[in-house]
Amino acid sequence: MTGIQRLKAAQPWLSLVMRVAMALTLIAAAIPKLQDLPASVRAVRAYRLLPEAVVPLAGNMLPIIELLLAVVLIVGIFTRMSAAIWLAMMAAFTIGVVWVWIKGYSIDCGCFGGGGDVPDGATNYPLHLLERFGFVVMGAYLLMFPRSKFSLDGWLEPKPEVRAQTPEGS
Amino acid sequence: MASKNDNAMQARALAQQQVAKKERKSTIIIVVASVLGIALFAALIYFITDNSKVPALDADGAVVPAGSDATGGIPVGPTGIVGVDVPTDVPRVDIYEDFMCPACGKFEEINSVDLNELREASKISVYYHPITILDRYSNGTEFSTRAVNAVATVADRAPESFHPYVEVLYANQPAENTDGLTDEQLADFAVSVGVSQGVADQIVDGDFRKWALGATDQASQDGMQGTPTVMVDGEILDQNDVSYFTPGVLRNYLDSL
Repeated sequence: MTGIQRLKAAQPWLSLVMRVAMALTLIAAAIPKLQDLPASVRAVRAYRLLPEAVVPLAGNMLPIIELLLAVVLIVGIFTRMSAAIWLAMMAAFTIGVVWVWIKGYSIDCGCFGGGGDVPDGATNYPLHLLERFGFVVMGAYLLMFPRSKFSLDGWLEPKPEVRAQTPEGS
Repeated sequence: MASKNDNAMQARALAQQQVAKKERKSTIIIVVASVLGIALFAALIYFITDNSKVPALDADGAVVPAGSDATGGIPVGPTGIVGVDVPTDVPRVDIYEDFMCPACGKFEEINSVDLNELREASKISVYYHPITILDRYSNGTEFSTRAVNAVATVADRAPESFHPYVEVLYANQPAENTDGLTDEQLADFAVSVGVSQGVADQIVDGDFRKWALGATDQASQDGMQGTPTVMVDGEILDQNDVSYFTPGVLRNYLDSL
């Protein structure tokens, strides 16, 4: 097998790994928020980015949306769309981190629960952005290669079989 | 001819197969999309109806401790009694603290004597904001919320003992990631600062839990991001300007106002 063939053979497996990793990330992010929804609301508010009218809605719905997206990823349906939504969420969160960094706010990102102000120096915005970059790479890969093993998508639309071209009359 | 017919039949069978496949596919997609839509909708309805999670300070059924104001602050005047003779023409100091927060215990240790002296001399008024943001550090016993409920109960029903009670709770602060104090221990500490047994026994009722959540959210809306937070006349005091964990610094600053 050539390198490219190898890559092609590995792609559905790699996409599966991405799907599962993204789903687990979302679940890890959603559970602490669900356990303390008021804290989730405060974490959203700490970014000082959204108007107060929508802060409670965003704080309460975010973990639910994260969980739903995790379920969709695990099942493997609407994979390309899920990857697009994931990337949109990452874009929003990245804007949030860049915003607080520029503004000089000293907050915990609240990404995996918690959140709010922390002492100066306890923030680590570069590391957060690096982490975010990794998440973006995962999402982008799945957006480009949504076909993966053990997915509902794959079951619904099996890979078109490559028919051997049989010469006429043979 | 026969071969043509065969071909047509084969083509029709293939087409039918494909249509059936497509139908199966659309059915599943419709079902999955509907389930997702319903789940989102249900979550939205749940959020709208279940506003008890973050009640407003004046939410239905919220019992508000007598003397506390619309920001969730419990004012203490020169006499040390909640709401009595609180001066309005002096700097107002708002202190936001969580009973589980070690830094708050430190803050009290460093500043409580200074704040008491300034307050007793009517140089400042002090508004205590017992809030609850650290319930996750008490092994599920929600010590932060229970402690706020306890001091709110005392503020409401034994206003002369509120401030000594706050001080004794910080002096006996439990460590993070322990169960914290039990309601019985909270009641015992209340009695130790002069609260009647009758009032102390009401701590376990949890009448002020809803107020505790509402006051905490109000604090967050007012700019509190963590504990302790100190505000002077409504402005958050930046530790870079006034390093209030250094003994005497806060007092000097307040004296200079």
